[in-house]
Amino acid sequence: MKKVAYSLVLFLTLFLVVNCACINAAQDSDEQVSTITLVVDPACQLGITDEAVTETLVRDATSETAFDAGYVELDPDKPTLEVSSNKTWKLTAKITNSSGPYPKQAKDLMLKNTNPDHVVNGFDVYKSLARHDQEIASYTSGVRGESHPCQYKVLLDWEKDIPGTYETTITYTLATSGS
Amino acid sequence: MFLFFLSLFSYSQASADEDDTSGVTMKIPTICKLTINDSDQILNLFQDASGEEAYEQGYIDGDLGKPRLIVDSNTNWKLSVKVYFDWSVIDAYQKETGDLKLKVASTTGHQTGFSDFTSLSLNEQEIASYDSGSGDDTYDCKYRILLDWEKDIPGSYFIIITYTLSTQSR
Repeated sequence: MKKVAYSLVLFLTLFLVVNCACINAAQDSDEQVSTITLVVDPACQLGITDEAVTETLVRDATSETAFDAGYVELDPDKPTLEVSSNKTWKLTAKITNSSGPYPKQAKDLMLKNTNPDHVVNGFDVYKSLARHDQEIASYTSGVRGESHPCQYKVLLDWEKDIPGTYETTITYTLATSGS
Repeated sequence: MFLFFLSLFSYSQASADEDDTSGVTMKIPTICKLTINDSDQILNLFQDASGEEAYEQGYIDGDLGKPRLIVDSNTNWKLSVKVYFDWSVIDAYQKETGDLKLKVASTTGHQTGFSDFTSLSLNEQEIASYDSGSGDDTYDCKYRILLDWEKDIPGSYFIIITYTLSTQSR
């Protein structure tokens, strides 16, 4: 009888020890999911510095030289355009307004874009502007803060360009394009 | 006399106390629960000044508390995070996993990481842990996505993040 009781106690003890050990060993974990969707539209940004450029032809030899040469170059890097885009883009320029003592021709204003990489349409050297958009730079991918230093040149003519103040407004447009 | 003793003996037997015992055993397993609120987010970069500003500053932020994690555990625990499904590919462009950053604000003091924006990865990274049980420990999260004019072309980018709460051996 004693032997049976002893066996029973031993069995119960072992059962409890094993059971407790199993409970402690079993770890638990829980998992949750979070999703993010980022929707990116085509985007671009055009910055411009030194946009107002003034040139005064004074009554001295330099003006005569300019007229004789047929042109005057304005300050370099004025204006400087800064392009950012997250996809294919193009930068255009056109004359949107002009005034003066007489209707000076639009083509008398020339532009040069001295950016080394993405200049197009012959604007790496002086080229006449027009009253319609002309592409002056473009690229098939995104860019960040790409600088386009420009320089103006105004054609002069002894016979046409009477004294006075001539003003021209040029509009630059940056647009994303393509698929 | 004999009858008197017999009667007394019988009375004593009828009024005797008897004790019984009842044993209660409750088995409590190791258990934990992770709750997530506001788990899904859509961030839009619109074609206006806000989109351009986001690109210029180099990132866009999600809202604080999206998602909000709530931890319950009856023993040592650890909360971790990893990217489960990397950014979806847009026109052969794979956005970097680390462009997704996470910042966590804890109200309980058990936070061990992500006190500032930290890049997520495909490997588990610990957010918080504790050497005892916790109830309703709350962790407000905030996502930040890095942006690059030159890389991040237009499209819809999708990523899945997994948060795991697990109990730890003592």
